[in-house]
Amino acid sequence: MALQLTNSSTQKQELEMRSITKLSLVVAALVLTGTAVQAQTNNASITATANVQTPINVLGAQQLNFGNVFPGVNKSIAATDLTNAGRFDVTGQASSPVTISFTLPATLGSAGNTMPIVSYTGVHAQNNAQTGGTAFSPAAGASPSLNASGALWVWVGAQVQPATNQAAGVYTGSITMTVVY
Amino acid sequence: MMRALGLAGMLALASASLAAQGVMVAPHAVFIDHRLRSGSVLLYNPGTEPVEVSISTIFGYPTTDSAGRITLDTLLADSTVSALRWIQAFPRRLTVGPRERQTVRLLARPPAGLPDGEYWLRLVIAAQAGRVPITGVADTTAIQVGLTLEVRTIIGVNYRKGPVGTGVTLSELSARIVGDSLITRSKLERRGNAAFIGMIRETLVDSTGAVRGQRVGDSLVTTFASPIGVYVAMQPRLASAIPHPGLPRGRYWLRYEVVAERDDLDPTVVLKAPAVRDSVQLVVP
Amino acid sequence: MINMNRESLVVLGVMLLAAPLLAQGKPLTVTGVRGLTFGAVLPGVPRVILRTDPANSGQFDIKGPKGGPVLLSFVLPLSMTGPGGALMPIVFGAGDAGFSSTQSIGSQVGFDPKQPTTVTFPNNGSASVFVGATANPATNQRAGAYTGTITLTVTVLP
Repeated sequence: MALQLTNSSTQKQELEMRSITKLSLVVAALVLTGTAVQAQTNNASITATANVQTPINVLGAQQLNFGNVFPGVNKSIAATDLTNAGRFDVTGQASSPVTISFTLPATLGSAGNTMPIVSYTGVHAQNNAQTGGTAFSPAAGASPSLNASGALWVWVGAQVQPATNQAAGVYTGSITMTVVY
Repeated sequence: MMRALGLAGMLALASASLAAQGVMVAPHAVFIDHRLRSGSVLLYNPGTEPVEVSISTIFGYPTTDSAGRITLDTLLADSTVSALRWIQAFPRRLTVGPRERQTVRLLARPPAGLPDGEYWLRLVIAAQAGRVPITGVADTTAIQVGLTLEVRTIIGVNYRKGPVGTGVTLSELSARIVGDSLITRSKLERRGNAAFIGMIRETLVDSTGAVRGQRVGDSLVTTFASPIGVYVAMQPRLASAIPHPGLPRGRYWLRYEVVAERDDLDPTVVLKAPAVRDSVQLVVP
Repeated sequence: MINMNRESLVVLGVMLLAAPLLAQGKPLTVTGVRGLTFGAVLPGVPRVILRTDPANSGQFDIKGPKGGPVLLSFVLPLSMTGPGGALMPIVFGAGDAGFSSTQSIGSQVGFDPKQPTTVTFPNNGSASVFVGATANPATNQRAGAYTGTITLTVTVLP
């Protein structure tokens, strides 16, 4: 419409055009102003931040379980005994080499009485079924790697040697596994 | 029958999770900037029992023994790169409740005039993994045995002052097939004034130039990658499974590269360094 | 010339009309005061920040017309972006936003940040909006710093 009027040849028509166009602008300004007043809008943003940190997780997953122990009867639990061997689970970065070492008690104690615990054995594997696992001496430690998913399983077995006159009681001790990452 | 087995499995899992105790430690390597002089380690207890944690520090850095196994060398307590005397951890004892997280702060008070460079110590996080239940039938024996499982996690702390740079040289690369494994050794020596933190990547290529991959699940893995930290020098032995069912007879090339890349660390703490590469021929008779 | 005079009158009229309308309230300002901070996040372990968390929740301050209804709407990220373009999902629950007419984090009325919400602006012309969320890192989430943007749009309704 404005283009057609601009093309008009008479001065009067041009004046009318200017008036109409300017009036339209004013009306538009009025409408815009009115809109702004009717619904003022503003916004702002904040940032959500997080810092992902890859952990290492070492768990004492399963106790070394000797079950019932009788005076004078040695009892062994092999590291290959998936049910009763003590098990530590390590998770971390895939394929990471780690160094594992142990602090192993020589005796278990109960109210001043002791019971020898000897012949520690160990197995580490990259799966929880010990498939392809590696036997090692816990006293010497080992340097395995986590698997492609970042997991490693370590089992420990031992033998307790209750004396024939072993006093009754609950005998306890601690096996400590140290993982150097 | 299947339902019974399934229930038994669930119960076994439940009892296992009750016994499983420990603490997650993150990050697994701490980097402290001299301008901030502090760092932190997050401890998270994913278990159902509180975990008692004690924190201590030692000096040491990874090296390798004669067999190429990575060990922690803790003998050089008076090393000039030790930060043992002036970085402390707080608190030193704490209890992390089930599903709780707590922060251990590391505060540095470096001596005046400390030269630019990187200084190291190791943080020892000892967690008593819950007192395990003592099993056995009480009325058939008067002797019961219970062993507490404890775990200690040792992670690195690297303190950086001023301009630090790193690099690595690679030599004496060797490779051989032993059973179902590819065994490699190499000699890595650090350059610059900071530890080289990166990855070793190994790729096996046959005589046609084709990469020998291994199918793991749904994906084809063509490169074996192992994180590595070269603090001074080491000769790491790496073992990786060869493609099943084994390699056909022939000649192969092992491509071996050491790169300053780590997906498990914040990229801002991984110092840039040129990659080093070598390759060695293997013959499968 | 006659036409121009008429236009001037119209413009003057518009200004006279608009001035009382604007005088109904002071200009609306929205300010992002504090970012939503998840801090250290462990792969596979969801991290929840409550909107009542004084140190880590996000906060916007709003200054505007005294009294009256105000429409609050968010533009929320689905994920935060980290190293090499890695993404970490961020989830906003139905009660993860809170409006405080006293600008006190301890006195909020919760609302769903995913839905536009109308609140009544206080007579002193100042209010705050707090926001919490849950970060859901994958078990193999790449380490490093992640960021995302949360935008609050405030519309003063007539």
